[in-house]
Amino acid sequence: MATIPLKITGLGILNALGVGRSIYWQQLLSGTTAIAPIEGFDTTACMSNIGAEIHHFDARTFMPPRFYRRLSRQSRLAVAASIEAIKDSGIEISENNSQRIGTIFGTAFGSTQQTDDFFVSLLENGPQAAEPFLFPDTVPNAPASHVAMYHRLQGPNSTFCQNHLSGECALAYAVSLLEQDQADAVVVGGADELSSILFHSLGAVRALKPLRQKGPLQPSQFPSGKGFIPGEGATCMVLERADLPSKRQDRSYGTLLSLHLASAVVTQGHYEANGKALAEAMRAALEEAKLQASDIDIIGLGANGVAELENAESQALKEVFGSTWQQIPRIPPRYFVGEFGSAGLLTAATILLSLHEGMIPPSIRGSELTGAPGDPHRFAPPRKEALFVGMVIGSTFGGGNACLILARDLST
Amino acid sequence: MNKKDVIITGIGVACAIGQDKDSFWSALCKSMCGIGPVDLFDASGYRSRIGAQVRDIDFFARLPARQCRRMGRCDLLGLWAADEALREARIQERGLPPERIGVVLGAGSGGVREGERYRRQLYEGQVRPRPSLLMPFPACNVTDAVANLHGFLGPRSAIATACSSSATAIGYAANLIHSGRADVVVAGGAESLSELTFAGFNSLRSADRVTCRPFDKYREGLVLGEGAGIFVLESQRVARAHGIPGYATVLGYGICADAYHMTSPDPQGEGAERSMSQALINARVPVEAVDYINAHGTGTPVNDRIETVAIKRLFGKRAYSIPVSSTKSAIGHCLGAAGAIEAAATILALYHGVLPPTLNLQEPDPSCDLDYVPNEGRPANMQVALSNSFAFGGNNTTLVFGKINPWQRYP
Repeated sequence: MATIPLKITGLGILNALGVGRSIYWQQLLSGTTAIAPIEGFDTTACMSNIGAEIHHFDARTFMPPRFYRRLSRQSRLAVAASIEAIKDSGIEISENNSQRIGTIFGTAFGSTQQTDDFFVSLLENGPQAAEPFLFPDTVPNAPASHVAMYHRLQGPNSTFCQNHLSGECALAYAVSLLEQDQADAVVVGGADELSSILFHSLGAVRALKPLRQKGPLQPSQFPSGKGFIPGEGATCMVLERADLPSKRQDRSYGTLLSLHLASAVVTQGHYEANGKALAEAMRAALEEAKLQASDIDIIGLGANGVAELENAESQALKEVFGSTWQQIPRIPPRYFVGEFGSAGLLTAATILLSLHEGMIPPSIRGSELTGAPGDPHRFAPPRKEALFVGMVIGSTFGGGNACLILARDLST
Repeated sequence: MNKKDVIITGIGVACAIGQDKDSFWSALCKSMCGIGPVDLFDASGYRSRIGAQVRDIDFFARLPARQCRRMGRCDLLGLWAADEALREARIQERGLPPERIGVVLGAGSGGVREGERYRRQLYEGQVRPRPSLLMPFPACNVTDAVANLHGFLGPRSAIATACSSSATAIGYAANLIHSGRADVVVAGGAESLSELTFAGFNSLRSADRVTCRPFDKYREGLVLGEGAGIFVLESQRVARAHGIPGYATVLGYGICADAYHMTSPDPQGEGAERSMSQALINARVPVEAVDYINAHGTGTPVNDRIETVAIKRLFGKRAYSIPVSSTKSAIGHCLGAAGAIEAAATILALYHGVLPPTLNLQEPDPSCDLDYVPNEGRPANMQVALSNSFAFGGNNTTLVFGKINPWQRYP
């Protein structure tokens, strides 16, 4: 169990389902998919034409043009999510507390578009004329730095790049900083953008799901097999020590009871095959939280359409939950918004909203989502239910696994 | 767990002046400079054409070729240094549970070097550029490579905060051990020279055309370098049980943000000062106890002046009697690996009782008026040393190391 009580007091969510926490939640409950043919760039030469793009993001509605003018799309998304989360938490940043509020972010690859634009400017213009204003936002820590600059957050600032586990790794470090008294609150976030060069590169290494669609791809049609469908988005949460005096203690989505990271030894570019390390992470997280598997009411999955991952997840669930694993509502947000580096944080935010609202979003029925080829995943419709404890699991290619346990704040 | 319970039991280094810990330290003490023309790519068109390149390294003399065939240069540098650190700490022969061994590494640009070769082929119209060039691109590839090659199953994370990445990785590793989430953590960072970062710093006119000359009146900017610095951190309890003496204690670290500008430090030096003061608070060490500071010392006109201001703000008049030196003058700015390699210099300084020098300091800048240990190292009795890393985006980290006393080594 985290050595000190930690609460999530604010959420900011932007992704292809919705720009804003409320819109995302409503769209998710309605079963809408954001996965559709890509409009932002040409995909004719690619093995796939689908992704989950954000179409309705206007940075002007969040921040002044002088601030975002030279920011990458990824940084703009990050700052926008942080604005929503900080406003939602009600935390007031002043000279008295700004040095005790950290900013920890996760991203898989940073701004691939900005990096590509800078490199192409070098190729086109030559060494003496590469565009200098494009270079600063090529570093993966740019979004966290812009968030800190926007809100004047002077506490610890760092960025984690652990492929599709980047959000969970950022959250783990935030917990560590709070436990070690290096901060009183941390704005934990993740931001990723879907760019032409990223899409092309994922296709080149055969990481994309080889599908060409004419219209949206409903979650129920989402085939398990090779490759994932990329998305983009930013999620931000305000994580605070609950043991410190605050006038806002009653404003919380829930408590982070535990978070455990565990690794598997895998071949480069692959997921863990048997789910053993993930199961180990789940057992350790339950033990830290002093809970039994039977205490879990809802699970946020890392499932992204890759059979190797989904098979590992289902094996780990069977190992930890035994024969009851099919009865627990399992939510796969990536089936609605695609896969990206910080999608794990979105899954955590989704489970927090579920606990807070007492509402189960569309969930996997029965024994579906086992990684079997051509498995037609069926979803149970959303339903109201009192929920108390949720689990979030995630894995990435390369061998990282995470499990975190969240509890509903009973005072709200 | 007591703050003094995390120690360094293995050090691995690869950089332009040495391909192992001992040759690195020996070259540093002999005032050898690893800066010269870069030939990893065509640098002839750039304003500055120099760098601190690792030369004549035979990676596969020590690393298994089959498992490493799809690794990038950054990964290979990291694996190379990790191999040395792990052998020194005798990790494999001690039979420690792999679930209790974590890996936290920093990386600046990761596999950008290989990625840019792919992108160049694509730009030039090649129909099928080699996809394998993209495999090392993720910044976490070196973290995964070290963990997977050595079979470590504990927590793993990759940190990418540019120049402070690997210093933060060392701090996080200490946190993981303090909190009981791991017994041993392999921490540090790796970086390879790439044309993209070379072009980036040239485009910002932040690169020196002559050499890296921190605190010198005529300094023009940084000189990029490459390499890796990898450590084995573990609790003293675990190390003692296996008779491992260790090099230094990780007393604590400070981490903070300027929240000021993407490429310029806070002009008053407040962020750098807070990084150092928070590190001392975290380490529970008084300012009077600091014997040496390994500076961020990039050689850019702004950084060196601001870092000097920050040291004076924190230490007052005592700043003039604390030796401060910049290892970048010898090995260049190794970005994602800089904090770790400079931490190695700091730890070895404590261990050997020798202050490493700031090279190429011919004419001191009047605004940089501290003792920078110019051009030659010298013996010194040290107990506590700081290592500063201040990154792009205003991300600051300061590490605090303490000398291990003989009674602590052999109780």
